Amino acid sequence: MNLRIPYALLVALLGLAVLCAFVGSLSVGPAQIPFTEGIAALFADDGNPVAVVMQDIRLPRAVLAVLIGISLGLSGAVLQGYLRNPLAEPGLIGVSSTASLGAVIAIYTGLSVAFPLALPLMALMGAAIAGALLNGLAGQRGHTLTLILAGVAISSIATALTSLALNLSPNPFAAMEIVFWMLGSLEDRSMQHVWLALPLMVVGWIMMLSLGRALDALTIGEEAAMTLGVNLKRLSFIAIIGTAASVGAATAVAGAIGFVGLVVPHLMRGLVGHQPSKLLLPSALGGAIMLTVADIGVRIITPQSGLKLGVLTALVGAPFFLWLILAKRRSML
Amino acid sequence: MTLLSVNDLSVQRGNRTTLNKVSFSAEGGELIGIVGPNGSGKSTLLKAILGLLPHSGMAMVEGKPVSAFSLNERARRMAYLPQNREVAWGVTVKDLVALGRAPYSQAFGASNAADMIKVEAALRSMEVTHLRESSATQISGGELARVLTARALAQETPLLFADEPNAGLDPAHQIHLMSILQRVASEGQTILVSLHDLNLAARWCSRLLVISEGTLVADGAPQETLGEQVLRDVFGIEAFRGEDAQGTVIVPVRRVT
Repeated sequence: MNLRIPYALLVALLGLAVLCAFVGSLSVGPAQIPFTEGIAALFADDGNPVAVVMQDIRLPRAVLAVLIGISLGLSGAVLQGYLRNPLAEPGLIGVSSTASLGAVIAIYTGLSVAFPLALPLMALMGAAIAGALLNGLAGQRGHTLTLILAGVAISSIATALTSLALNLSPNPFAAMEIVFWMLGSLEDRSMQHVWLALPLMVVGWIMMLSLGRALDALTIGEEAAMTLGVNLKRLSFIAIIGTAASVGAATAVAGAIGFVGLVVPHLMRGLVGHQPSKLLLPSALGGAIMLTVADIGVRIITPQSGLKLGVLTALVGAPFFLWLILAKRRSML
Repeated sequence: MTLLSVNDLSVQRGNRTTLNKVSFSAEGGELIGIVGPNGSGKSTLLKAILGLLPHSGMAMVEGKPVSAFSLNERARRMAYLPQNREVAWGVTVKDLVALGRAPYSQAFGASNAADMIKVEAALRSMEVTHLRESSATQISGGELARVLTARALAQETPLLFADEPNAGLDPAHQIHLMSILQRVASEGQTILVSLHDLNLAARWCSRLLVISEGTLVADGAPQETLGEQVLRDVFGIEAFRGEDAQGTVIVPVRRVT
């Protein structure tokens, strides 16, 4: 895992792979559409069925996979660097579970039926509350341990309330809908979802990408980083709010998708000489590749049964993660 | 202008006073050892001056209170070598030492050629150039200590605060480290170094601050500050004392209770 290739080349290759995965995602689906015809239909405005499939079904799905993958990969890399812990991931600080809770409340109360955008909006509200709570609890002195503990507490509360909603759910269909939503999926998303998530995600990305040098300095501990000019309070604020904005938006439109934020930074770390700043961009691109490929996989493996994306990333991600740990242990012996 | 002046610096932790109205000042080019028993407040003093701990009283650098400088301005004046040698990721030694240049780099700017020359010089002076491409988590403890010292030297600040930089080093490397600090001081940098080894402190430092229970009890040249009474009252030891061509030799021989 310590193969070092020039950073610019790595980024270029990953960028190319994102493009390939994106195009691949556009060309997969139940409707058999020839590749060139499909691409041409993306730009057609005559409303024929092929153009509708490409523009309203496949394009939002492919775009969302890239956007969500970037958000998960990037925030995973930022949180691992900030918490100096290779096990950190966006789920750890409770943003995904509170966003899920918001969505679950929307489903439970029937709001999402009356007003479809209520679901992502409530999820965003959940993420915003988590971000504000975390910042209030942990941001005062910017201690990372407090952040982890606060995240675990918030996450537990959100999970408990989600379970409560399931427990008290008015009918089995509502419970089923909640469970399916929580598994994470990109099916039947529209460009409306893209426009809802994109601005928040971009704000989150810009915030997180600005942290590179501070994360590098944090390699040698919080106090030493401060004497290198790092403002820990500011760092903590940006890491929390950046994650809450981008992962909150991701969860709001696609449900909770695990393992991408955890695994991707691990894969990339050895390729960039373990430097937290250089890990950010490759992790963002790697996340986009992983999620897009997984979403293609979901459609190819079980086109009919509707295997959920979050289930696949966990099914593939977890054993792979185990293998990574074993390989790492072997190299350390 | 006085480089560093510390006035009535106190630190309160809970209801315990861990540092009690410490005052002293330092000019450029001094190698100042801070000695005292465990828990006497050596690390607390260094951290309070750096602004890492809430404190009362004031530390001034170049005539201006430390709190009036931005974090980045502080980082260009004071470097800190913490006691715990924490390195979270397996970055290369070269990248680790290059962190010392962080306060000087522009936003988003990679280290420039001039910075890399300073990094190489710091690697050379700590005799760790051969490790430059090694992973910082895979070198020995003694090597890491030298690499982290190189990191602090690369910061090229008028003031360097080193907390127990010798811990875990073999005798040859302890002497090597002290000689480097002495050389750096002779080039104008002022170094405050906390030490447990009284012999090293006496031989290499130009001045010693003796701290006991948070209070500064002696401040001066090693021969004056480490007298028999201080050794007995502050450190609770009796020591063999001698002189050789290089200076004082102090070897603790028994504990006095």
